[in-house]
Amino acid sequence: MARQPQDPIVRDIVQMIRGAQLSRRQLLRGAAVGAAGAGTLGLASCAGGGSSSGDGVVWGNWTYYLDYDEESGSYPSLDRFMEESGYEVDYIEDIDDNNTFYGKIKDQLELGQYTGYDVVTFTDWMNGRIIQAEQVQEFDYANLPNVQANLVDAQWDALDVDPGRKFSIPWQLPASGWVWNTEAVPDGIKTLDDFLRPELKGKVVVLSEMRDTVGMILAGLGHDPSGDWGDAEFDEAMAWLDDALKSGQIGNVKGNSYTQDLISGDALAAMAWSGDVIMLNAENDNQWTLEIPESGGMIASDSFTVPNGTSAEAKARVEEMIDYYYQPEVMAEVADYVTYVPPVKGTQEAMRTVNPENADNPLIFPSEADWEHLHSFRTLSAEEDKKYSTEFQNVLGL
Amino acid sequence: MAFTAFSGGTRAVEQAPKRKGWVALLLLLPGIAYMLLFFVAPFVQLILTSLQAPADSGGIGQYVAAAQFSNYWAALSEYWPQLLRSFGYALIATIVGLVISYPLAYLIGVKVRSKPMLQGVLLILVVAPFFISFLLRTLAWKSILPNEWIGTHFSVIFGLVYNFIPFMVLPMFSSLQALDLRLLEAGSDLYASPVTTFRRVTLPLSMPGIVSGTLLSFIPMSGDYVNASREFLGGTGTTMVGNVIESNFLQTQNYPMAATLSIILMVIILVIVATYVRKSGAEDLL
Repeated sequence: MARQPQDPIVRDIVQMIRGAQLSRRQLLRGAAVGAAGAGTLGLASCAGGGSSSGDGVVWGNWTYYLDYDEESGSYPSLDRFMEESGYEVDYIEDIDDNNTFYGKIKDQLELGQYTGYDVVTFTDWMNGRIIQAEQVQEFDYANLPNVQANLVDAQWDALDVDPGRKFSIPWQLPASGWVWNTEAVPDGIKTLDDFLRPELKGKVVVLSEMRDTVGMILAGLGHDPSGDWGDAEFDEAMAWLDDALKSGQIGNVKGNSYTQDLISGDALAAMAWSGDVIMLNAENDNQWTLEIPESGGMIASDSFTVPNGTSAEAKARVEEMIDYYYQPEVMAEVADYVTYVPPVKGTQEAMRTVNPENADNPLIFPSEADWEHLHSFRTLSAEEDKKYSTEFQNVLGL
Repeated sequence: MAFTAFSGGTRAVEQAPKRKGWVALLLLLPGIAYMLLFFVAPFVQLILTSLQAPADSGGIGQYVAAAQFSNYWAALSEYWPQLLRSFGYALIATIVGLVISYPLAYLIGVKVRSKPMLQGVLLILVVAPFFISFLLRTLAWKSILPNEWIGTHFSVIFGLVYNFIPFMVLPMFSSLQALDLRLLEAGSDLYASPVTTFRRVTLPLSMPGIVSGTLLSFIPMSGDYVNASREFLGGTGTTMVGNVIESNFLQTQNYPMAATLSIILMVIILVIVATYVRKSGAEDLL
């Protein structure tokens, strides 16, 4: 759900279509949020260099990445925070893609000016880039007791360029695995080569997010995506993808809109994000099975960072907000809506009160065995990033 | 000349163009400023970007000012298939569009000229799709066309033809609407067959419309990146140069490559358009 098509206009259209598949309220919600976001962003942008958002916080986030109440048209957990803290939070769901959003604020980041956002939630590979470029501020853990106590152990050092999470604090952990139409593909997709079965020709979709697709291909070919792989392994993965695309076995490479292909039956098997499949199953009679592959699925982190241009006062308010969300009860509420893996210890127990049905959902709370198969894509050097991104785009014909 | 013809003396003749020059300049100023600000400046920036070299840091999106003309060769050698495909698609779609649009424009502009109500309805039918978003219309075709057709050369060309037909019909209609029907009558009176009348009278007189219509379609078609996008009617084997430019600007943040491709696209279009206009004998359109 967090990932959207690369083009913002396309993203809006896809959202509209998805909205039609959801309820009318959700569609209206999208429009309301978009309008509010545009307005707030406009105002925020007017703030100019060096200043922050008055007495509040401007939070830039991905779409569908915070609990939302359709009845009241508001964000309950955020409303409660605003009530408790007395701060106004301008919540803007306008991160549609790491690259395009980075492009939007990159000039201000480079100049150390206010970006229009006090806090953003890029994916960790992009966080790695801006941390290395020294464009974000260090968190003050004196203001973050809940984070100190509740951040899941594996996440403290998950971002190799930010050990101890000094500059980035996880917000959600999107996991990706393999999904198939349970009825049409009764044997399931258990190995990478299962995607190449003749009966699936043209009915396979993979993700346009390089790190997820290449990561799962690397793992399927026997390499650890978080390990010490290099050009030879990457080229092997590209060759597999290229062959599958050229032969027509893989029908398309998509962003978030792959869910439409699953619904329409254009795709019977896909590499997919776990949260999407939970939502799809909830709305379409559990037609799909998603598994973290034995060879390995991917787990990423979308983490809070505070850009350099954010004022010290605003940063302190951001820290208070992050700490609030690191209470398991609050995170359980968020996880119940967002359905990605929460980074807060104790969320599963708290979920038993919020929504017992989701408390044992392995896609929200992966089992120990699943965690063993979930890999992070290793941080690429600037040169590797450029080279591999270009090669990946070239294989996609771009 | 007209201005000075009534002015009499030599002195006035000398002064008038001067005054006229000032007024003309004053009137042109907003237009010139607009062009400088929104066309010349970005174009210069685009040229400078196209000549940039990677920064020493080697980071994504990090480039420094340089005079790296080899970027152009790199762009052509790497992306010639997409360039070729773009112009191929645009050419085929323009020809198909012309075959569909001309009879339609003839019907509206000539055949039903005596029935203004019907003519109005037909014109509205041509223009009506404009009231719906370009993207939504394209996405609608994705649902209508059989799944097997999506992502093929056919689906992309189909999308291009469909989306740009109104741009072709309207200029042709405009030309044909102005056609003096008495000329057709005269042709017939002089024993010309309908085919000859069409070839010798209708076609030449509607040529400005044909040239405008085909240009108004071909140019945006060549740079179009919606129809061929994987999210719409395209697939991985149908990408056009617009998709590559988008990918280089937004995904790999290879700004020099994207800028270089934009300029190459612009230059090729200019050459094609200039040649076409010259060959078609409609230089006054330029």
